[in-house]
Amino acid sequence: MIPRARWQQIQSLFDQLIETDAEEREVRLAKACGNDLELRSSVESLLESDARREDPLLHAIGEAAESLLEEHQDRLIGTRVGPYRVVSILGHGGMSTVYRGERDDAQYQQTVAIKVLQHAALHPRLRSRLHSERHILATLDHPSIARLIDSGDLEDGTPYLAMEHVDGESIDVYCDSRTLFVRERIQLFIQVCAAVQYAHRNLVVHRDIKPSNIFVTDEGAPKLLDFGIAKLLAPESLSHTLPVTRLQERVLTPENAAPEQVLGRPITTATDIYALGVLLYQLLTGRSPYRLLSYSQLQLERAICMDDPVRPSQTVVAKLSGEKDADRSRVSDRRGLSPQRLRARLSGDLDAIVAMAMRKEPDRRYPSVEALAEDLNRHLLGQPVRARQGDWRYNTAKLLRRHVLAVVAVAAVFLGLALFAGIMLWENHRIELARDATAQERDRAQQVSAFLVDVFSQADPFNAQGHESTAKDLLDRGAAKITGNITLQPEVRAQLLESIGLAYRRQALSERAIPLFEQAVAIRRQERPLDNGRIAVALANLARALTDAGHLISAEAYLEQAVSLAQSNGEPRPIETADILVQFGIFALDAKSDPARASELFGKALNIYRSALGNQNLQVAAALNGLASSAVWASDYPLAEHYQREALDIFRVTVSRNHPDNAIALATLGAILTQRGKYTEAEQVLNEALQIERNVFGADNPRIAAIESDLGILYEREGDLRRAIGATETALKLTRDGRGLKHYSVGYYLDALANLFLKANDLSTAEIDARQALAVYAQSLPTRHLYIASTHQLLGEVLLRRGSLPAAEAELRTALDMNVGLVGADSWRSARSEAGLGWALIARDKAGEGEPMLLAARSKLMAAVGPQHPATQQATAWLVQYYRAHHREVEASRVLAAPDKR
Amino acid sequence: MQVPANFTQLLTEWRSGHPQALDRLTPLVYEELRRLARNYMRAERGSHTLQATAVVHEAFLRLIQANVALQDRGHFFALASRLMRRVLVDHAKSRSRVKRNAGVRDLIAADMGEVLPPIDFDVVALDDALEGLQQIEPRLAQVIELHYFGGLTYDQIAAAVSTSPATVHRDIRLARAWLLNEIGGTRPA
Repeated sequence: MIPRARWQQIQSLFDQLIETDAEEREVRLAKACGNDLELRSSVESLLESDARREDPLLHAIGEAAESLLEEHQDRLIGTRVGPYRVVSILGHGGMSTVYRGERDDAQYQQTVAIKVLQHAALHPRLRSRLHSERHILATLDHPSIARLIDSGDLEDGTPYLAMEHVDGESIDVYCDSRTLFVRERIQLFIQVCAAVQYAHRNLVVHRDIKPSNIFVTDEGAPKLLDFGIAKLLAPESLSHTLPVTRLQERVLTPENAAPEQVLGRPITTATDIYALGVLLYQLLTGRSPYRLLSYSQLQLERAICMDDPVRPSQTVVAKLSGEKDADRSRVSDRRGLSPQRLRARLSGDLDAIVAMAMRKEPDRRYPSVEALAEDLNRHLLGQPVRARQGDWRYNTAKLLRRHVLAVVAVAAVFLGLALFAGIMLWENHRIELARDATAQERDRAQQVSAFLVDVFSQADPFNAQGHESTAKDLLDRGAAKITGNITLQPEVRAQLLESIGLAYRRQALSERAIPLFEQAVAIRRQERPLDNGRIAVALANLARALTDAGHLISAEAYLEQAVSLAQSNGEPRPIETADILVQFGIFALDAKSDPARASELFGKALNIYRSALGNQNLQVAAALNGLASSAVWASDYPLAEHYQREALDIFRVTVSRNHPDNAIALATLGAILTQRGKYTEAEQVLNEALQIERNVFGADNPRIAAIESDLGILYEREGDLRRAIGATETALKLTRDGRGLKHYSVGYYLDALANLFLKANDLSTAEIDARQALAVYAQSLPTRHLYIASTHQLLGEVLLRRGSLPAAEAELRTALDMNVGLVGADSWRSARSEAGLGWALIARDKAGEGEPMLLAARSKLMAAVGPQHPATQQATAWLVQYYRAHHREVEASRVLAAPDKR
Repeated sequence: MQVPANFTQLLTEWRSGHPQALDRLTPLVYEELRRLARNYMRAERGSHTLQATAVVHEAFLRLIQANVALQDRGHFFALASRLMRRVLVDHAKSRSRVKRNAGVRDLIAADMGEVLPPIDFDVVALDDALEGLQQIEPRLAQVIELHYFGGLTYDQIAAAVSTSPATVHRDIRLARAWLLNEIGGTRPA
């Protein structure tokens, strides 16, 4: 028996320490316990038990309850049910118990599964219904459906069903125990589909498709159990006889339930299609789509109706807190792949097929089980699957809308061209009026018209066969026609090249845009060597495409040429000059990480636009966007929010909500709001942006990566690391798939992931990702860049945590040098590096050098970003830890108690 | 369900030292448990125990819907959760069953990312350990009863025993850790 005083000591320490991290815990424990080793070991062992994730208490109670609930169900064993002798229990739940029954008489020997419906006896009207349903079920005759053999009543009137007894394992256990590959799992699943399809043709809905209802025999043949039984047991069968409350109706484990089942809406064949989607999800990933550790039914039901499940490809690499790599690879091992390979295997077709089967709205799922099976067969044959195509026959409003938008987007490009043609015709007309026309001039307009007719005639977007990439196809066709075309006049060619190039760039196809812009520049130079303004614009367009494609060094060279040309222009063209300034501003941010310079360039452009075009203008909005981004880079978030809202106000009155620039502006605002701690609005705004971009550009367009990454930052701020990692990994995949492995933004997202893994305390993954990020940057960015400095900083912090002190010191020194060079010694970035370096030095027993450095860095951080900033808090924590370790309690408490006001 | 009018009365009698009241209470609890269990669908393979626990908690919630004056509710809840514990423990003691589901638990644990070797014990061991905790700190034993045998949330417990949910949370963590140590120490996994 523990003495009272002792217990209070233990309790108080435990309460203090449960929320601390391991490092701090160690320090505080050591301090509080001193030489009292017994106290220390008591508290330590309590904390260790507290860290367990399982809950044996709940399990012990559950086992007792389970045994209690089962007790009364065993009474049939040894008795006779109809012609069968009850041998044992096969399985049971609250509503029914399944026994193994044997018939062994003069006629024949047979083993059956006898399902006894527990509560049905109580309700006479249900029993009459049962009889008619049993009749229908008895007609189902399919090799993959366990047959209903017989039915009747027990002596007390309880109805029972005798069904074909299936010897085998449930489908998930079967697949895992034989380490079936993904392909084999799909083939087995397709056989299950055939059985469900057969039942649907006979107007029977299963309603309860789940792994435990599908057995696979040793010969590998699947058998569906309990077809239509769920309906016999369904609450609505009772509703006319009993006042059934909502509480009683609830399905106990609705993991596989469709939203309409949760919501009590009509059950149709689409319900089975949903459940098949869940089953496929489970077979592919080994997890349930709404996998909750909590058994709160409400949460689960909410998730089923509201949330999109994590994609299969994501779920197999997701690691929940407390999971080890081994836990994650257990699932992929069972499929004969590494986690990353499994992820790649599931990504794309299978993600899309599962998603389509599991749509929330029944009428947006596959129209039939057959269609689902067909799509899987297409996948196995390497043919394009329908789930990934835009104009799916039984399409949904959403997909239809997306398709229409793609058409509209491309139409806008060609509308621009048509306008150009119109102007040409008009000029031509004017020239003719002046009786000064040359045959050449008249030709220009006719050529553009002919070109447009040519492109459009081959690509009627409303006739496109099973594609959503209508816009890209049209552009490809246009680009192919224009590139080798020497019959067009050079001016016309240049104009068309630039229009198509611009459209490509907007579709995040900058690599395709570059050669077109290069040709346009060459034509402009050749045809009008003296028109500096025209050439400057062409150069700026090229530079922008190069920037987007990640070719920063050549982009800068072209931009410099463009600016000097625009400024040397004798006849000023203000708008074009401002356009170039904006381009340069974007470049100054993206490529040079120079917010002050960018802000100056955007400011100049803004003034030019305002005086030339007025305030309600898209170009004004673009300049404001640029100013907001510059303010973000300079960490001035209130100013950024101000500019960004101003820009959005302009979009609101000048363009539709679906305009891509509006989406980008919304996303930027979301990121700013996240930084300002306005999480609710941030999430709303980011999701709106995401939705617009997905609708307009499709779900795998790399443009979306930026928004996913912004969401990742938001989730991280909200403390949901798992979702944060998921979103950032999506951003990374989109970028790698869409922009290639060496694009600098691949490095950026790797850095973001490394940061998240550091927070999740997965230090080895963090280190790998940070190093990969640096490798990508080395191939894509100038040698000195804020991104690179940031990653060195991060890597340094990871190495500090890993205890690789000399390496950490080296990384932090690199970060510090680079930051001082880029943003000055007083910037918080430099101070953060300095703080880390100071701590690294202290840890390497060079406190004489490290302590003053850490102290000074903390003061700078206080002055630059205030005490609440994570960098300041980290510096403070280090300082306190150092003081405490050296028993300088007074200084430690001073640092903690009174924030430095300097 | 109608909570029998004498449920409250019986509970009070039981705690005032009339063991025969337990004989009349137990069937009420059994009946409620079975009735609820029947209304749930056939359980998923591998998650029987969680479902059974959910049935217990649901039954508890229904039993405590008795008409009890607000100031007596904390006391009443404590009695009801003690009763639920008694029913489960007595049932477990009356049977020494072969575990039907051995092995299933390991599967679940594996899926959830077990960090330490699992501690496995039954409700009788839990009951013994709770007696020990009762001696040291009755408050902790009570929150464990309310949370695990009654299924009350931290908020509900906080309201019932007039404290904050944060305190309840801390108490449960400490109590749970203590119980695990106690049981793990005497019956190594």
